Amino acid sequence: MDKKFDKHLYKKLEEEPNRLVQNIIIIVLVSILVIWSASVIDIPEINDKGKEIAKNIVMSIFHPNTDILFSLSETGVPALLIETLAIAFLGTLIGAVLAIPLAFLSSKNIVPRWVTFPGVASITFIRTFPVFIIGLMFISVSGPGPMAGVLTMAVTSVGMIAKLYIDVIEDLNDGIIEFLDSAGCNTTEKVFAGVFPQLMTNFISITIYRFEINVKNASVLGLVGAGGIGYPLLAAMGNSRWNDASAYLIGLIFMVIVIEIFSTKIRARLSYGK
Amino acid sequence: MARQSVEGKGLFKPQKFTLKSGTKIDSRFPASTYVIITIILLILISAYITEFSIVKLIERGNEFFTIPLQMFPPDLSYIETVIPPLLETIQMSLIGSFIGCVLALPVAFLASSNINHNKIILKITRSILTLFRTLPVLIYATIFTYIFGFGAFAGTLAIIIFTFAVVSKMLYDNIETIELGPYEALLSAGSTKPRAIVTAVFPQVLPHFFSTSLYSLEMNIRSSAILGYVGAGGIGVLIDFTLNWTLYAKFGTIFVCLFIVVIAVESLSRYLRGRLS
Repeated sequence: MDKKFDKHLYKKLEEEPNRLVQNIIIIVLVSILVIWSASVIDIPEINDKGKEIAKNIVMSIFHPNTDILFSLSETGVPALLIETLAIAFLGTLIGAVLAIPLAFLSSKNIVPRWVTFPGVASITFIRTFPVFIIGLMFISVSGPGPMAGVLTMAVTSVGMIAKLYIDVIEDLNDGIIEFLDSAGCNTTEKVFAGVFPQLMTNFISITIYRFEINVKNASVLGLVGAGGIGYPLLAAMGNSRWNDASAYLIGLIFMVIVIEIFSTKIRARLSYGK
Repeated sequence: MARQSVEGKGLFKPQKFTLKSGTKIDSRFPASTYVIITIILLILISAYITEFSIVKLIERGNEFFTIPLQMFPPDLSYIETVIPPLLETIQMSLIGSFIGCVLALPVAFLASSNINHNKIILKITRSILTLFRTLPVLIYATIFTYIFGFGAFAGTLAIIIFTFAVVSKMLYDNIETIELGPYEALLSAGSTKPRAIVTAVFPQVLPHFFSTSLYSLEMNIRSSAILGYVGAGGIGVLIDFTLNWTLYAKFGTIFVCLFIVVIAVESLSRYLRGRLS
């Protein structure tokens, strides 16, 4: 080995900051947290009833109730899936529209910093509310049913959509706007020719992404009776009608996978062009 | 101008231009018109299916505030009852995220097409992960409460599975974008595959892995309220109780505590993630 080269390597090695102490502190802290939390896992003894239920669940996955799965009536799986999709679609769209003004009012490059505060605070506030509580509040507005689901989806989507919109708006390329300025455009023209084209693809992509999440989470609405496939699914599980539950689950999984594939395809096309 | 005659407005069909030379060209196909029409149709259909009515919303919109108004001022004497299940929620999220993330690390390598060249194992791993990811935490928690009985164990198990599925996906997306040079150099120098992964791939992936883990912890704390609602332990059990008995002032206390915890965890996680990147 070349001695000089060796020396150079050692010098490089010595230049590397010594993170040993830092790493040890982090490892100790994490271990303490993990050990503290591990006390929560009190592995229960699975009694015969639990085993029986587990067996029933596994068996029923392969024997879904085909009457419900392919029934075209209002309580069949296809109708429920369409209702779920409709709730998620309308909810996401309303949320996406509401998020636009909120996001502009919360972006530091659009309005002064102190103006952004209420917007940012309300976004955080909305995001903390568990979905089913917003659902309960809307049920007192519209009564149980899919309309409460739409409103719930709209409000819960606003938080995340606005947060992602803000990131996009704060990344706006000022150069283009300055360029339009020097070309003599007025404010409206600047917004339509310089701002919208930059934002639109990202906004649409974010909205589709949230639609995907809303479809996935739609079963939560069933907890409070706000429409969709969630309620029949939870009710079937509650009454140990596992074959029915399996039919609903298969429908749900199928729908989520299809939506995920489409969403990924469309978003890839939006971000890379054709 | 080279253009001589224009046909149509280009709203539904591409505009046809005839140039001076006689060449005919079409403008771009106006796809956006059709997209907009489809979206409007879908909105109308969805509104019909969901019985959405703006009139109802305007007339009864104020009812939305009946519950929040009763939540404030919160009943602060309830705080002693709130703290233990809140701690349980934090514990469930911590241990659930930890185990889920640790399990996700090796599986993510199995699911990355640039590390694992065995197509069959790759496909199987990815399909299983997709299947796990399609179901929300709520459904897992419900199923586990029937098998293991009510309590924190069912909830933690649900968190573990969900975290595992989500983190694996985020991680293999990241592994597929890394620089493979050092890894291949080690392999060609005769190193074993695991050894090469630890030395050349880990340093590139770990910051992202830690950041994803912190993110999953945030997500789990936020979703843990739902877990208790189906009886899987933590603060949700109290939420279920107070809402069922319409004790909204007590629920207000729970909400304020949960809000503080979520904000604290989120700020800490954001600070740590900022340090990582």
